Amino acid sequence: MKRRQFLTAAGAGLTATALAKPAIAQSSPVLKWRLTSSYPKSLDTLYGGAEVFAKAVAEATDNKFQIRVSASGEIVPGLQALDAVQNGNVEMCHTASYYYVGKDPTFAFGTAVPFGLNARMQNAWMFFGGGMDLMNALYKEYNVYGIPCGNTGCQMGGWFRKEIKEPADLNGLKMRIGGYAGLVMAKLGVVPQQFAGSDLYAALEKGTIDAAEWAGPYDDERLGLSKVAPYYYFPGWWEGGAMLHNFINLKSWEQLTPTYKSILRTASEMTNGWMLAKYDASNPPALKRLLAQGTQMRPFPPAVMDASLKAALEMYDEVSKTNPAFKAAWESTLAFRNDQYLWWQVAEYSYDNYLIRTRPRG
Amino acid sequence: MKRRQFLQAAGMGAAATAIAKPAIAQSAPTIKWRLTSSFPKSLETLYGAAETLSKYVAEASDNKFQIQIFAGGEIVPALQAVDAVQSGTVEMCHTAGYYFVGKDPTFCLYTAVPFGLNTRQQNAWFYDGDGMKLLNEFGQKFNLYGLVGGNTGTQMGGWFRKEIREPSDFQGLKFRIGGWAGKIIEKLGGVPQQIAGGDIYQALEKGTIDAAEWVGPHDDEKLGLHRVAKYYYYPGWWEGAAALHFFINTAKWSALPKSYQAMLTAAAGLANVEMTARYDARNPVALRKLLNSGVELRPFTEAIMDACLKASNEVNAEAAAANADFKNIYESMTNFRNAEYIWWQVGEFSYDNFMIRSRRRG
Repeated sequence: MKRRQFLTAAGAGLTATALAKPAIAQSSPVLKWRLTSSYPKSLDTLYGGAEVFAKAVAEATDNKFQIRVSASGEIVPGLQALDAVQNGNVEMCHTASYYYVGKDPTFAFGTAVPFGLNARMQNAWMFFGGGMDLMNALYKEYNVYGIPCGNTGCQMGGWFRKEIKEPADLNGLKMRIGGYAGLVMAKLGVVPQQFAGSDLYAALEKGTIDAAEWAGPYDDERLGLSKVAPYYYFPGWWEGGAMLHNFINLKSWEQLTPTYKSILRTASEMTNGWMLAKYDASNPPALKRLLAQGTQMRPFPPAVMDASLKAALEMYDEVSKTNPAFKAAWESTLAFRNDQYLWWQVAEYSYDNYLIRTRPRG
Repeated sequence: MKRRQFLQAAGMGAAATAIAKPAIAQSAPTIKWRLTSSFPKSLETLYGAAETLSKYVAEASDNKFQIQIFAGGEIVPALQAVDAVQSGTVEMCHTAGYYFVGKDPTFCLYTAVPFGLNTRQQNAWFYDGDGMKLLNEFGQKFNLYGLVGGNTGTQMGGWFRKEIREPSDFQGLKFRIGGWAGKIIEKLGGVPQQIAGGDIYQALEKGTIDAAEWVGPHDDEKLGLHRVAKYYYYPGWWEGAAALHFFINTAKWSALPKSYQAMLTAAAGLANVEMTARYDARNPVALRKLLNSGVELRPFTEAIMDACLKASNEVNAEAAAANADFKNIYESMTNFRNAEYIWWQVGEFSYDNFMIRSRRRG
């Protein structure tokens, strides 16, 4: 046994002993956990979700179960949150599954995939379409248990210094775009770049990159991207609804009393609803402010959307050939999505369509 | 003081004392509550939300806080659920606020008003806008504290024995449609009918009524309405979203320990997410079955939608002129809606639009 493994195992054993005793004696032991968030404190939507969650857990347990939330970089860098939980450095993290596509591209399905599900469909797939089981089979291999905890809704296509009029305009474009969507973009000639949120402004201002996508109006405004790139494209076809997760170290999860497991679940789902509501309420006024300051909104032209869809479908096929878990997740998502949109176009879409057209009359 | 008021006040006082004592002595007292649902057990979507809440509260409290669920009619009739909470007969109920527009039209703003918010916008208004704050101030008049507890999504326009081609086709049409929307149908010359869910099939079969709306494909299929009316119209413009609520007697709520209030709040948050996810997962499956059995899907024509919008604005303006609570909360909702749809058309709607058009390709 390697020294590191030995230490981890011993550490885990100690925790187990410490917990087991009060777990028998009482169902509400005093427990202190650490949660590492992948986000900076300045984003009250994404980082705020972890705080709302931790507060709900503390209140429901009379402060016996305390979860201390740390911002990105305080314990580990934002994109290493999952690793910290996997090793047992911290008990849990709040992050986006798709940050970890480097480990396995299947991680993308926990958050969002190009031309995938919208936010409500993602919840429906997770809770009633087999998504939770599929994803947790993968997460288990990384020693974590995942619980959905938040969604941004459909994101924007990002900030561009020049207009994108046809697919060829993407050729050679240096764009900050994450993970799996970056692979699809690369097929269109884009040179995908990975930057932390806090470095985006400088990179775009200096011209180190030509374009950058982050989230939507409310978060993007906070990063100041409108000041360094005038064109704001939509929709973000790679994120029709981006879901966040709480990942909990498997051993830590298994050692919890049934009471605490249940409280973690309810607090996570309350936060899941809270975050989407927060985004949906905050994006409209932010968009209004951006437009007033001179941002120019542009839809991706149909030819760009079509080329992107084609590239995405090719990428799904390629990865599916070598990765059975990915194939299973894609086939499940695809079948679910196609059924969903058959229904969606009837009630939801036709209602929204009419309300969008008649809004001024109401 | 009237005898009824006196009994009520005395009852509440006694309950408050009984709970207050253990709340000081111990933070987790044993409490048994009764919840009356407005729905039958056969509707696992609507009735199921109360079961979910009860299960998670019991788990979180180690079975110390137990909420026993009663279906509509077991303690009080379905449409008297709020009365039972108001008088303290039961501690809480699960129902649709708009069933109680007879008490005060403001109740419809808990659930849905014609041409109002869609599901996500409604959650955003409830949680992050002024929605629940204003509604809970209003609810105090009826001893009600409300927690959002589910949403059906956009409903269908209902089942019609004959095609409806223009607004004049509503003349004399006997239409089973509930509460507030009935007033609008009346303005169009229709004859709104109130019929309990279980009796709709027979009324439509016998021709006692010409049309009936219930919910959407999943719930409607259970009632078998497609066997007695061929035309299935959309969208249900009177229910762009229909929210359910848990209403808790305000005295009972105030007497709860903080930890129990937190458990109820978190469990209601989970039940809210779960209900929409369940509807979203099951409606497409049911729609497919209905289409296979020969149902004819029809959109309401633009002229009909326009006539309904006009009538709806008139009905709401009349209510606002006569009722300050309605006016105040209705204005908050419409301002929120108008800002929302500016944003909605950009991200969500353009994404859904592309996905609906390209679904068959991917």
